[in-house]
Amino acid sequence: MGYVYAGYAVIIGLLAIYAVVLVMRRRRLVGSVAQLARSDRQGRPGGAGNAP
Amino acid sequence: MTIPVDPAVASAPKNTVMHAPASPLMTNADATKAAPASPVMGGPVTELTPTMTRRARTVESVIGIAALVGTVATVVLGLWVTPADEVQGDLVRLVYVHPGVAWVALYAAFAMAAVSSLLYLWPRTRSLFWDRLAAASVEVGVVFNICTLASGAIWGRPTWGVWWVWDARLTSTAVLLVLFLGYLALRRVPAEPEVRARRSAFVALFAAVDIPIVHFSVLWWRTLHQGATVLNANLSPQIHGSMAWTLLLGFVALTLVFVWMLLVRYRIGVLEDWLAGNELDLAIEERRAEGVGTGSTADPVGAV
Repeated sequence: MGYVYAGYAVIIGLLAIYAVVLVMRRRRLVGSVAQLARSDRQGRPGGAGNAP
Repeated sequence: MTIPVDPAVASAPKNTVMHAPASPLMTNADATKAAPASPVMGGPVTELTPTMTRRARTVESVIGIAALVGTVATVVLGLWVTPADEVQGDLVRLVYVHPGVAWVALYAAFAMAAVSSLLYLWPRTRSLFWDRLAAASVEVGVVFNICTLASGAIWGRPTWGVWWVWDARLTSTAVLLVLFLGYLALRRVPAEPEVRARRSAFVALFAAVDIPIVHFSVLWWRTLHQGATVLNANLSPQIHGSMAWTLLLGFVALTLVFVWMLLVRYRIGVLEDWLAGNELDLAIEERRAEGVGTGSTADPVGAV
Protein backbone atom coordinates (compact mmCIF):
# COMPACT_ATOMS: atom_id res chain seq x y z
CA MET A 1 0.00 0.00 0.00
CA GLY A 2 3.01 2.31 0.31
CA TYR A 3 3.07 3.10 -3.39
CA VAL A 4 -0.69 3.65 -3.39
CA TYR A 5 -0.53 6.13 -0.53
CA ALA A 6 2.42 7.85 -2.21
CA GLY A 7 0.47 8.18 -5.47
CA TYR A 8 -2.56 9.66 -3.75
CA ALA A 9 -0.37 11.96 -1.66
CA VAL A 10 1.43 13.30 -4.73
CA ILE A 11 -1.78 14.03 -6.64
CA ILE A 12 -3.82 15.45 -3.76
CA GLY A 13 -0.80 17.31 -2.38
CA LEU A 14 0.15 18.97 -5.65
CA LEU A 15 -3.43 19.95 -6.41
CA ALA A 16 -3.93 21.33 -2.90
CA ILE A 17 -0.71 23.37 -3.06
CA TYR A 18 -1.68 24.76 -6.46
CA ALA A 19 -5.19 25.62 -5.21
CA VAL A 20 -3.74 27.55 -2.27
CA VAL A 21 -1.31 29.36 -4.60
CA LEU A 22 -4.19 30.32 -6.91
CA VAL A 23 -6.30 31.68 -4.07
CA MET A 24 -3.37 33.66 -2.64
CA ARG A 25 -2.52 35.10 -6.06
CA ARG A 26 -6.10 36.15 -6.60
CA ARG A 27 -6.38 37.68 -3.12
CA ARG A 28 -3.22 39.72 -3.70
CA LEU A 29 -4.45 40.97 -7.07
CA VAL A 30 -7.89 41.87 -5.72
CA GLY A 31 -6.13 43.87 -3.01
CA SER A 32 -4.02 45.68 -5.60
CA VAL A 33 -7.07 46.51 -7.72
CA ALA A 34 -8.94 47.80 -4.68
CA GLN A 35 -5.97 49.94 -3.70
CA LEU A 36 -5.66 51.38 -7.18
CA ALA A 37 -9.38 52.09 -7.33
CA ARG A 38 -9.27 53.77 -3.93
CA SER A 39 -6.34 55.94 -4.96
CA ASP A 40 -8.12 56.96 -8.12
CA ARG A 41 -11.32 57.83 -6.30
CA GLN A 42 -9.59 59.89 -3.62
CA GLY A 43 -6.81 61.74 -5.27
CA ARG A 44 -6.34 61.23 -8.95
CA PRO A 45 -6.21 64.58 -10.77
CA GLY A 46 -9.57 64.97 -12.47
CA GLY A 47 -10.95 61.88 -10.79
CA ALA A 48 -14.32 61.72 -9.14
CA GLY A 49 -12.72 62.27 -5.76
CA ASN A 50 -11.53 65.72 -6.79
CA ALA A 51 -14.70 66.73 -8.54
CA PRO A 52 -16.27 69.92 -7.17
CA MET B 1 -11.24 62.71 -16.20
CA THR B 2 -9.84 59.27 -16.61
CA ILE B 3 -12.20 56.82 -18.24
CA PRO B 4 -11.03 53.40 -17.20
CA VAL B 5 -11.36 51.03 -20.08
CA ASP B 6 -10.45 47.40 -20.04
CA PRO B 7 -7.05 47.10 -21.75
CA ALA B 8 -8.51 44.43 -23.97
CA VAL B 9 -11.05 46.94 -25.25
CA ALA B 10 -8.60 49.81 -25.55
CA SER B 11 -6.11 47.87 -27.62
CA ALA B 12 -8.50 45.93 -29.80
CA PRO B 13 -8.46 46.44 -33.56
CA LYS B 14 -11.51 48.20 -34.93
CA ASN B 15 -12.91 45.13 -36.61
CA THR B 16 -12.41 43.00 -33.54
CA VAL B 17 -15.46 41.25 -32.21
CA MET B 18 -15.23 41.90 -28.51
CA HIS B 19 -18.30 40.12 -27.23
CA ALA B 20 -17.66 37.73 -24.41
CA PRO B 21 -19.92 34.74 -23.87
CA ALA B 22 -22.20 34.99 -20.89
CA SER B 23 -20.64 32.54 -18.51
CA PRO B 24 -19.48 32.22 -14.94
CA LEU B 25 -16.10 33.36 -16.22
CA MET B 26 -17.55 36.74 -17.09
CA THR B 27 -16.65 39.75 -15.02
CA ASN B 28 -17.96 43.23 -15.48
CA ALA B 29 -14.66 44.00 -17.20
CA ASP B 30 -15.72 41.51 -19.85
CA ALA B 31 -19.17 43.00 -19.88
CA THR B 32 -17.75 46.37 -20.88
CA LYS B 33 -16.66 44.80 -24.14
CA ALA B 34 -20.26 44.32 -25.10
CA ALA B 35 -21.11 47.88 -24.12
CA PRO B 36 -17.92 49.94 -23.97
CA ALA B 37 -17.79 52.66 -21.36
CA SER B 38 -18.83 56.10 -22.50
CA PRO B 39 -17.93 59.33 -20.77
CA VAL B 40 -21.49 59.47 -19.52
CA MET B 41 -21.33 56.12 -17.89
CA GLY B 42 -17.71 56.57 -16.89
CA GLY B 43 -16.73 57.75 -13.46
CA PRO B 44 -14.42 56.42 -10.85
CA VAL B 45 -12.38 53.36 -11.56
CA THR B 46 -14.40 51.38 -9.06
CA GLU B 47 -17.35 51.27 -11.44
CA LEU B 48 -15.34 49.32 -13.98
CA THR B 49 -12.90 47.39 -11.87
CA PRO B 50 -13.02 43.72 -12.77
CA THR B 51 -15.18 42.64 -9.89
CA MET B 52 -16.98 39.33 -10.06
CA THR B 53 -20.70 39.20 -10.45
CA ARG B 54 -22.64 37.62 -7.61
CA ARG B 55 -23.72 34.79 -9.91
CA ALA B 56 -20.12 34.02 -10.86
CA ARG B 57 -19.11 33.96 -7.20
CA THR B 58 -21.95 31.58 -6.39
CA VAL B 59 -21.14 29.27 -9.30
CA GLU B 60 -17.47 29.20 -8.30
CA SER B 61 -18.31 28.40 -4.68
CA VAL B 62 -20.72 25.61 -5.61
CA ILE B 63 -18.21 24.03 -8.00
CA GLY B 64 -15.44 24.35 -5.41
CA ILE B 65 -17.47 22.66 -2.70
CA ALA B 66 -18.64 19.91 -5.08
CA ALA B 67 -15.05 19.33 -6.19
CA LEU B 68 -13.85 19.06 -2.60
CA VAL B 69 -16.62 16.66 -1.58
CA GLY B 70 -16.14 14.56 -4.72
CA THR B 71 -12.38 14.34 -4.22
CA VAL B 72 -12.68 13.33 -0.57
CA ALA B 73 -15.29 10.69 -1.50
CA THR B 74 -13.02 9.35 -4.26
CA VAL B 75 -10.08 9.07 -1.87
CA VAL B 76 -12.14 7.31 0.81
CA LEU B 77 -13.78 4.89 -1.64
CA GLY B 78 -10.57 4.30 -3.56
CA LEU B 79 -8.34 3.65 -0.58
CA TRP B 80 -10.59 1.85 1.90
CA VAL B 81 -13.93 0.77 0.43
CA THR B 82 -13.34 -0.78 -3.00
CA PRO B 83 -11.85 -4.28 -3.16
CA ALA B 84 -8.31 -5.13 -4.17
CA ASP B 85 -7.73 -6.47 -7.67
CA GLU B 86 -7.05 -10.15 -8.31
CA VAL B 87 -3.93 -9.42 -10.36
CA GLN B 88 -2.61 -6.05 -9.18
CA GLY B 89 -3.74 -6.27 -5.57
CA ASP B 90 -3.94 -2.91 -3.79
CA LEU B 91 -2.02 -1.15 -6.55
CA VAL B 92 -5.23 -1.06 -8.57
CA ARG B 93 -6.44 1.68 -6.23
CA LEU B 94 -4.32 4.14 -8.21
CA VAL B 95 -6.70 3.65 -11.11
CA TYR B 96 -9.25 5.88 -9.37
CA VAL B 97 -7.05 8.97 -9.59
CA HIS B 98 -4.31 8.45 -12.19
CA PRO B 99 -6.56 8.23 -15.29
CA GLY B 100 -8.65 11.09 -13.88
CA VAL B 101 -5.75 13.53 -13.76
CA ALA B 102 -4.57 12.30 -17.15
CA TRP B 103 -8.05 12.90 -18.61
CA VAL B 104 -8.08 16.46 -17.26
CA ALA B 105 -4.55 17.25 -18.45
CA LEU B 106 -4.86 15.82 -21.95
CA TYR B 107 -8.46 16.11 -22.98
CA ALA B 108 -9.98 18.82 -20.81
CA ALA B 109 -7.17 21.32 -20.29
CA PHE B 110 -4.93 21.07 -23.34
CA ALA B 111 -7.78 20.37 -25.76
CA MET B 112 -9.63 23.37 -24.33
CA ALA B 113 -6.50 25.46 -24.77
CA ALA B 114 -6.29 24.40 -28.40
CA VAL B 115 -9.96 25.15 -29.10
CA SER B 116 -9.73 28.51 -27.30
CA SER B 117 -6.61 29.39 -29.29
CA LEU B 118 -8.38 28.48 -32.50
CA LEU B 119 -11.33 30.67 -31.54
CA TYR B 120 -8.94 33.51 -30.81
CA LEU B 121 -7.29 33.20 -34.21
CA TRP B 122 -10.65 32.98 -36.00
CA PRO B 123 -11.46 36.61 -36.91
CA ARG B 124 -15.19 36.37 -36.15
CA THR B 125 -14.64 35.16 -32.59
CA ARG B 126 -11.43 37.02 -31.80
CA SER B 127 -11.46 38.18 -28.21
CA LEU B 128 -8.94 38.26 -25.40
CA PHE B 129 -11.48 36.16 -23.51
CA TRP B 130 -10.32 33.13 -25.51
CA ASP B 131 -6.67 34.01 -24.98
CA ARG B 132 -7.11 34.23 -21.21
CA LEU B 133 -9.10 31.01 -21.21
CA ALA B 134 -6.34 29.24 -23.14
CA ALA B 135 -3.67 30.54 -20.77
CA ALA B 136 -5.67 29.47 -17.74
CA SER B 137 -6.31 26.02 -19.24
CA VAL B 138 -2.64 25.47 -20.01
CA GLU B 139 -1.42 26.48 -16.58
CA VAL B 140 -3.92 24.22 -14.80
CA GLY B 141 -3.26 21.49 -17.36
CA VAL B 142 0.47 21.60 -16.67
CA VAL B 143 -0.17 20.95 -12.98
CA PHE B 144 -2.42 18.00 -13.85
CA ASN B 145 0.15 16.73 -16.34
CA ILE B 146 2.84 16.75 -13.64
CA CYS B 147 0.42 14.84 -11.38
CA THR B 148 -0.12 12.33 -14.20
CA LEU B 149 3.58 11.71 -14.78
CA ALA B 150 4.39 11.55 -11.05
CA SER B 151 1.57 9.17 -10.15
CA GLY B 152 2.33 7.08 -13.24
CA ALA B 153 5.96 6.73 -12.16
CA ILE B 154 4.86 5.68 -8.69
CA TRP B 155 2.53 3.09 -10.23
CA GLY B 156 5.20 1.95 -12.70
CA ARG B 157 7.85 1.16 -10.09
CA PRO B 158 6.06 -1.82 -8.46
CA THR B 159 4.36 -3.05 -11.67
CA TRP B 160 7.06 -2.57 -14.33
CA GLY B 161 10.06 -2.53 -12.00
CA VAL B 162 11.19 0.94 -13.10
CA TRP B 163 10.17 4.50 -12.30
CA TRP B 164 10.45 5.58 -15.90
CA VAL B 165 10.75 3.96 -19.30
CA TRP B 166 10.93 5.61 -22.71
CA ASP B 167 7.60 4.12 -23.62
CA ALA B 168 5.54 5.83 -26.35
CA ARG B 169 2.71 6.87 -24.00
CA LEU B 170 5.04 8.18 -21.30
CA THR B 171 7.39 9.93 -23.68
CA SER B 172 4.62 11.64 -25.67
CA THR B 173 3.03 12.80 -22.40
CA ALA B 174 6.35 14.21 -21.22
CA VAL B 175 6.81 15.97 -24.58
CA LEU B 176 3.36 17.49 -24.16
CA LEU B 177 4.38 18.83 -20.76
CA VAL B 178 7.53 20.41 -22.20
CA LEU B 179 5.58 21.96 -25.08
CA PHE B 180 3.05 23.60 -22.79
CA LEU B 181 5.77 24.74 -20.39
CA GLY B 182 7.20 26.48 -23.45
CA TYR B 183 3.78 28.03 -24.04
CA LEU B 184 3.77 29.43 -20.50
CA ALA B 185 7.33 30.71 -20.91
CA LEU B 186 6.38 32.42 -24.16
CA ARG B 187 3.52 34.23 -22.45
CA ARG B 188 6.01 35.82 -20.06
CA VAL B 189 7.89 37.50 -22.89
CA PRO B 190 6.86 41.18 -22.77
CA ALA B 191 4.57 42.08 -25.66
CA GLU B 192 1.33 43.83 -26.50
CA PRO B 193 -1.70 41.74 -25.44
CA GLU B 194 -2.70 41.02 -29.07
CA VAL B 195 0.82 40.03 -30.09
CA ARG B 196 1.16 37.78 -27.07
CA ALA B 197 -2.24 36.25 -27.70
CA ARG B 198 -1.54 35.56 -31.39
CA ARG B 199 1.86 33.94 -30.91
CA SER B 200 0.60 31.96 -27.89
CA ALA B 201 -2.36 30.67 -29.91
CA PHE B 202 -0.07 29.39 -32.67
CA VAL B 203 2.15 27.64 -30.13
CA ALA B 204 -0.87 26.07 -28.41
CA LEU B 205 -2.14 24.71 -31.73
CA PHE B 206 1.30 23.36 -32.54
CA ALA B 207 1.57 21.68 -29.14
CA ALA B 208 -1.94 20.24 -29.46
CA VAL B 209 -0.76 18.06 -32.35
CA ASP B 210 0.77 15.87 -29.64
CA ILE B 211 -2.62 15.19 -27.97
CA PRO B 212 -3.83 12.56 -30.49
CA ILE B 213 -0.32 11.08 -30.50
CA VAL B 214 -0.56 10.57 -26.73
CA HIS B 215 -4.04 9.08 -27.06
CA PHE B 216 -3.28 6.64 -29.85
CA SER B 217 0.28 5.84 -28.76
CA VAL B 218 -0.85 2.64 -27.03
CA LEU B 219 -2.42 1.48 -30.31
CA TRP B 220 0.22 2.68 -32.76
CA TRP B 221 3.23 1.28 -30.91
CA ARG B 222 3.95 -1.69 -28.69
CA THR B 223 4.02 -0.11 -25.25
CA LEU B 224 4.28 -1.10 -21.61
CA HIS B 225 1.37 1.16 -20.80
CA GLN B 226 -1.98 -0.60 -20.90
CA GLY B 227 -4.72 0.35 -23.34
CA ALA B 228 -7.94 2.13 -22.44
CA THR B 229 -9.98 0.48 -19.72
CA VAL B 230 -13.31 2.19 -20.36
CA LEU B 231 -13.16 3.88 -23.75
CA ASN B 232 -11.53 0.99 -25.55
CA ALA B 233 -12.02 -0.01 -29.16
CA ASN B 234 -14.98 -2.31 -28.35
CA LEU B 235 -16.59 0.29 -26.06
CA SER B 236 -16.77 -2.51 -23.53
CA PRO B 237 -15.58 -1.36 -20.08
CA GLN B 238 -13.14 -3.75 -18.45
CA ILE B 239 -14.11 -2.65 -14.96
CA HIS B 240 -17.33 -3.29 -13.04
CA GLY B 241 -19.23 -2.79 -9.81
CA SER B 242 -17.98 -0.50 -7.07
CA MET B 243 -14.66 -0.16 -8.87
CA ALA B 244 -16.39 1.26 -11.94
CA TRP B 245 -18.48 3.71 -9.93
CA THR B 246 -15.47 4.91 -7.97
CA LEU B 247 -13.54 5.36 -11.20
CA LEU B 248 -16.42 7.41 -12.62
CA LEU B 249 -16.62 9.47 -9.43
CA GLY B 250 -12.89 10.14 -9.67
CA PHE B 251 -13.27 11.43 -13.21
CA VAL B 252 -16.16 13.71 -12.22
CA ALA B 253 -14.46 14.99 -9.06
CA LEU B 254 -11.16 15.77 -10.78
CA THR B 255 -13.00 17.45 -13.65
CA LEU B 256 -14.78 19.66 -11.09
CA VAL B 257 -11.41 20.45 -9.50
CA PHE B 258 -10.17 21.47 -12.96
CA VAL B 259 -13.21 23.68 -13.60
CA TRP B 260 -12.84 25.41 -10.23
CA MET B 261 -9.13 26.02 -10.83
CA LEU B 262 -9.90 27.26 -14.32
CA LEU B 263 -12.40 29.81 -12.98
CA VAL B 264 -9.95 31.10 -10.38
CA ARG B 265 -7.05 31.17 -12.84
CA TYR B 266 -9.12 32.98 -15.46
CA ARG B 267 -10.03 35.61 -12.90
CA ILE B 268 -6.34 36.05 -12.07
CA GLY B 269 -5.72 36.69 -15.78
CA VAL B 270 -8.44 39.34 -15.87
CA LEU B 271 -7.04 41.08 -12.81
CA GLU B 272 -3.46 40.95 -14.10
CA ASP B 273 -4.45 42.43 -17.45
CA TRP B 274 -6.53 45.13 -15.78
CA LEU B 275 -3.70 46.06 -13.44
CA ALA B 276 -1.16 46.05 -16.27
CA GLY B 277 -3.31 48.57 -18.14
CA ASN B 278 -4.15 50.77 -15.19
CA GLU B 279 -0.80 50.77 -13.45
CA LEU B 280 0.64 52.51 -16.48
CA ASP B 281 -2.22 54.98 -16.38
CA LEU B 282 -1.60 55.59 -12.69
CA ALA B 283 2.13 56.09 -13.24
CA ILE B 284 1.40 58.71 -15.91
CA GLU B 285 -0.98 60.51 -13.57
CA GLU B 286 1.65 60.45 -10.82
CA ARG B 287 4.22 62.05 -13.10
CA ARG B 288 1.69 64.69 -14.13
CA ALA B 289 0.88 65.41 -10.50
CA GLU B 290 4.57 65.85 -9.76
CA GLY B 291 4.81 68.26 -12.67
CA VAL B 292 1.93 70.38 -11.37
CA GLY B 293 3.77 70.85 -8.11
CA THR B 294 3.51 69.88 -4.51
CA GLY B 295 1.17 72.71 -3.62
CA SER B 296 -2.12 72.81 -1.92
CA THR B 297 -3.65 69.35 -1.88
CA ALA B 298 -2.00 66.24 -0.65
CA ASP B 299 -1.95 63.56 -3.29
CA PRO B 300 -2.67 60.15 -1.89
CA VAL B 301 -1.66 58.64 -5.20
CA GLY B 302 1.88 59.85 -4.73
CA ALA B 303 2.00 58.16 -1.39
CA VAL B 304 1.10 54.74 -2.79
